[in-house]
Amino acid sequence: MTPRVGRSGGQRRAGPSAAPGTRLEGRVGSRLRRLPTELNLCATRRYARPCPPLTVAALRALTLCLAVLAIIAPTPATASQAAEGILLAQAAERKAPIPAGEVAPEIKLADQHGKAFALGEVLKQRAFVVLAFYPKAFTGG
Amino acid sequence: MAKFTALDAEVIGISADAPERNLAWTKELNLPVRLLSDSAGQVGRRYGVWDDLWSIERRATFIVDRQGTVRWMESGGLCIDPSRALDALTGLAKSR
Repeated sequence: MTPRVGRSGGQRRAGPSAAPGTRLEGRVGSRLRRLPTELNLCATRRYARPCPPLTVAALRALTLCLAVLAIIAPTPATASQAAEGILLAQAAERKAPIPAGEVAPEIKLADQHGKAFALGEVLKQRAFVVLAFYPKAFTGG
Repeated sequence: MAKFTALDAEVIGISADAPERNLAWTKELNLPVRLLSDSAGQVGRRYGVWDDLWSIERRATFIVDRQGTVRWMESGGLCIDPSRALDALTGLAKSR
């Protein structure tokens, strides 16, 4: 019993390992017949360490790397945004006026001449900007 | 207005009015300030001064420093006295 198992195991082992380009070179028919066996390498070599867990491990490692990158990636963008402008680019809507001590949201609007205004740009030239919100023109204040 | 400029400050007016109306106002009063049109209220909402009922800005004045921080704020009333903002600005400029 034992030698027979050993022989069959040996045959199985010899089959795939002797495959690539030795005496079967150029024999298209034989190669086609051998192809499924080679592709099914993992299934036939049950005694060896199976391939699928390795593949799964590699995929898991790749996924982990991508996840780490996804977490790290926003950091440079945030840093460049902070270097670009000190104002809040995205601010939530509020019901009450912003109290002293908080960061002002960016303002990008057109002035009376249609010229673009950006608060961040003006703050590069001035120590202070006084923002006066009023309901309507010709109403004073 | 020269007093504000002397303290290295720029005064900006913001309302929901169209640029044409703001231009007419600055011409009539010879106002040396930039008036911004926030017709959709997007800035007013973020500053907490937008009136949804009338679609206008409520009166409020903010002083923002070079670091982008609101240093002083006053809101409400029918007319904001610019001298209070000037006083606050003078204090801020001294402590700089």
